[in-house]
Amino acid sequence: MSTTKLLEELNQVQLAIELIELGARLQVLESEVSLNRGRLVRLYKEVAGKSPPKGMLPFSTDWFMTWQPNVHSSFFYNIYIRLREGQRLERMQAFIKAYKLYQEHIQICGEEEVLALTRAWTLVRFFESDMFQLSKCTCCGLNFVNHAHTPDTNYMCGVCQPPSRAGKPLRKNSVKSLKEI
Amino acid sequence: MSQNKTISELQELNLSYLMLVQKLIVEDRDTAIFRLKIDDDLADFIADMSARELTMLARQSHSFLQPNLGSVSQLKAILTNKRDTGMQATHLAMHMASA
Repeated sequence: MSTTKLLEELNQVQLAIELIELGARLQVLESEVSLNRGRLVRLYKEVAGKSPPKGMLPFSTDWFMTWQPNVHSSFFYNIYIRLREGQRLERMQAFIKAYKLYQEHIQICGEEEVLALTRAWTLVRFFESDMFQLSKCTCCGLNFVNHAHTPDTNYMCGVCQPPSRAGKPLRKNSVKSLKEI
Repeated sequence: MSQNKTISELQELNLSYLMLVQKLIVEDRDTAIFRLKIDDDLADFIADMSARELTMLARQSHSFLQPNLGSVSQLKAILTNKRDTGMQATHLAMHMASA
């Protein structure tokens, strides 16, 4: 009995370490890892080498609707759903693996990591509490994050039909770096 | 003669593909299944194959590789998107993740 308990605790510590390394905030650990808060704080300090940041988590659903975050969130959520529902992985397993696959893509393409782990976790929670739905783009046929109960028969995604100023920040940066040279 | 050469190239490709699949499955089974778009049974089977079995299977004159690119019309819509928003790579990765 006590050995299984120890093993269970070890698994929880490992899960916590993995989440901290990927950049999880303390609130994520508190709801996903069954270790007490004191131990989580100590673990956070040891793994991250600093005290956990204070303050509330971002709680707005609107961030996920803005242009670039929407594409990144939708990309992440498509991977997550495939691992969770297609391959029937356990929830946190699927979450961690999906996030690593997202990071891998960011690294390969040299893009900016728009979706931090804590945001990704918030996204999953929003879906679990039915605040979001997936809407299928009529042009590319992919599923994108959208507010729940939005009529979406003629939905077009942010890449197929970008807003007029989309993509501007990227160009601004390249102009700046040219000037620096 | 040249046809024999092409066939042996195909056999080589088969073998290195199978070996890569095996490696991916050993490294991380779940991620490998995701990347390779195969099912559990096949993943376990390939992971347990011996070197001899792999070579025997690879020596076939059939290809094991089949383009797995999802729907052609969707792929076309993504690749021919004229607006340059710097999002094409992510859009394409998303297509592959759900293909």
